[in-house]
Amino acid sequence: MAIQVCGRQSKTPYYIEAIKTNVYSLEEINFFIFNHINLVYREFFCDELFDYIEKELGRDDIAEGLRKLSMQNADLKDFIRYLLKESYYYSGSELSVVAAYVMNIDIMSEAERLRIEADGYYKMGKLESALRVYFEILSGMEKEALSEAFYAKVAYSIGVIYARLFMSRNANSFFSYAYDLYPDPLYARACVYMALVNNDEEELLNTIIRFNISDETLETIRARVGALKREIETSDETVNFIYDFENGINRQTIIDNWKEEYYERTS
Amino acid sequence: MDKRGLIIGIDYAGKYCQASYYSKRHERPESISYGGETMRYLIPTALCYNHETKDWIIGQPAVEYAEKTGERLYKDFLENVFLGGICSINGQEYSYTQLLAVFFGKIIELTQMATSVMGVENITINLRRVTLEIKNTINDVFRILKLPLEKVKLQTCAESFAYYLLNEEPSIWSKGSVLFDFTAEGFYEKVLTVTKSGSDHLVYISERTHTSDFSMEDMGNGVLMEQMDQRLTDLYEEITAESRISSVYFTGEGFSDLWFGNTLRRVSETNRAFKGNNLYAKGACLSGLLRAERPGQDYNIVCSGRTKHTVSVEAKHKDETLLLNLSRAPKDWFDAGMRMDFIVSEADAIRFYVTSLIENKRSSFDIDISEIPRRPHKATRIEIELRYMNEYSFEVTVRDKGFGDLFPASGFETTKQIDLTSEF
Repeated sequence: MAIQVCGRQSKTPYYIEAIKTNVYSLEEINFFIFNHINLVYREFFCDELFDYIEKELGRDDIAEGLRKLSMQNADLKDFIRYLLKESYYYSGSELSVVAAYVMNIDIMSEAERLRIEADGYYKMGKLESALRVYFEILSGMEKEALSEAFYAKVAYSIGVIYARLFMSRNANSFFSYAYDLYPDPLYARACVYMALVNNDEEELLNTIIRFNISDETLETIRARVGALKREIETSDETVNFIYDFENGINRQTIIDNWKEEYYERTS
Repeated sequence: MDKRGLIIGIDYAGKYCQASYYSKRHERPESISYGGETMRYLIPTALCYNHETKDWIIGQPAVEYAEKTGERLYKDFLENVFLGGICSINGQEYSYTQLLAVFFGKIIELTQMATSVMGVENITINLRRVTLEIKNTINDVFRILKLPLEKVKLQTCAESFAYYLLNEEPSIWSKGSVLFDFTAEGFYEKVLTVTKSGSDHLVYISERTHTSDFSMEDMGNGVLMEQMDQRLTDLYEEITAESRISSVYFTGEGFSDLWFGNTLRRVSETNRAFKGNNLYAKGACLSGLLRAERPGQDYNIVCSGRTKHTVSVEAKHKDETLLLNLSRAPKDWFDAGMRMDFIVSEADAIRFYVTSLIENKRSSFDIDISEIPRRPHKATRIEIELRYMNEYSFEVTVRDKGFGDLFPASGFETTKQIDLTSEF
């Protein structure tokens, strides 16, 4: 569906301290909650917000509902669920993406909130920002009593980002570190993938031995990598790109686009 | 106690003006009279400044004062507005828009004095034709008078006829009605018929001009008047041969003298006949009454000057897909525009639908929005503006509004023009 009905946009802003940004509509408030749920605390739902929603956005129904929750000393998750649901900005299926976060938000630790933030940066393609936050989580590992599986996932995510930035040695280090924290076969397979992509036989052999990779698993991954390589090499996009680049067609534009894409990823 | 303000209808023509207000006591529109013995309800559309009383006077007293004192009589307000006319009175410059504001202000004062009611609920102005320039001028006039524009409505003679008639008992209009309008400006025929379309009633008004066959210059000449009478009878019979009719109205100063006696006799054989000069003013007043008593509701009047197509767009609302009407026909084309914001989901184009009221046929057109910068999911607000240029063409503009301070607007704007007289 192309478009959806929305509410009023006020000329008067409402300042959200957590993201240091003014918002002007109920849709923007919803957007903030949905995309920065790790930054939403009980204090966000205050009288100023309720008054703004009522007077500036004309939604006295929602304001009244939030005030009732406030009088009942409701949990943070109830405020979030109510606002997101009654705004009808996100559909039911879209809200299911954050449902798990919302359910646990009252008991979420700082590290878990940071991980939501980092995952958000990753989804937006802001890889450097995602890296920075993932590292922040790992640096606080000793302070918080979260499971090693949790930190292994964070390490794995760092590895994935390094792989996307073509820093394969770094990627491999973190896949290996993730496995050390929590021996999930996924992390071992990731190391195999990196070795095959790098065409590094020595690294591959070390990986097979260290993680006890079976022949069957190795052949499956090898076949998959081979198939992906062929798919990329024979795609119209690659063929046209090689032709254009070798013949100097739009070469500068191609390079500029790469630069822009890389800056975007590393922002 | 009803604290509602005045509901005023004004028929604004070149030479004369008429005004009426809705009387709650008598439950009908009452005409305002001002000066003169004959034609009491016809107010000359003229203005003069009285240096003795230091005030403006309008209508017949203004005409007489100007004749007596040699003071300048101001008239032809709209024409002079478009010519950019300026006049100087007592060292102060006035535009014709300001003079028109004075004129309308005096009409309102007359009504207030006649009723002892000061507040104004709404004003409806009947005009021989409405253009965007005229609408903008009238809006400027009421800004000067400090009356909120949502209280002011313009409408055409066909619409005023419909509002007047539909307020009468159904036997007068249920089979159809004819209006003959004869003034120095021309001779006009309007035929009103009511048909059922689905669950709605549609009020159709067809219009024709017969100015070449009827002229006020022929008045006073017995032979020419007899010939006009015969032509009018022939015209009446032509109309009744094609449509069933319950009533016939004669309006305009051309019917002041009874030169059309034969036609009147012929009409009276099978239908009801009415004669009067204040039909448009009263119809305008009744339109105001409907707006005051049933806001948002209207008759489905299909006539010249009203849109014949509903423009809609598919949009999601509360998890449901709707066909949202941006402009629902029939509506005065100059009031049929709108602006509305939407949030963009994943889409490179927006599809609009155009449904013909009369043929019940639907067409569609797309507007490409792929040049709006890519932003996170649902983080783009757009404004859709629909603007009619006349009843047969409109344009749709889509503007990127960004998403507050989170994502500034890109400046993207695109417009598509649609000509309803051709396929698109």
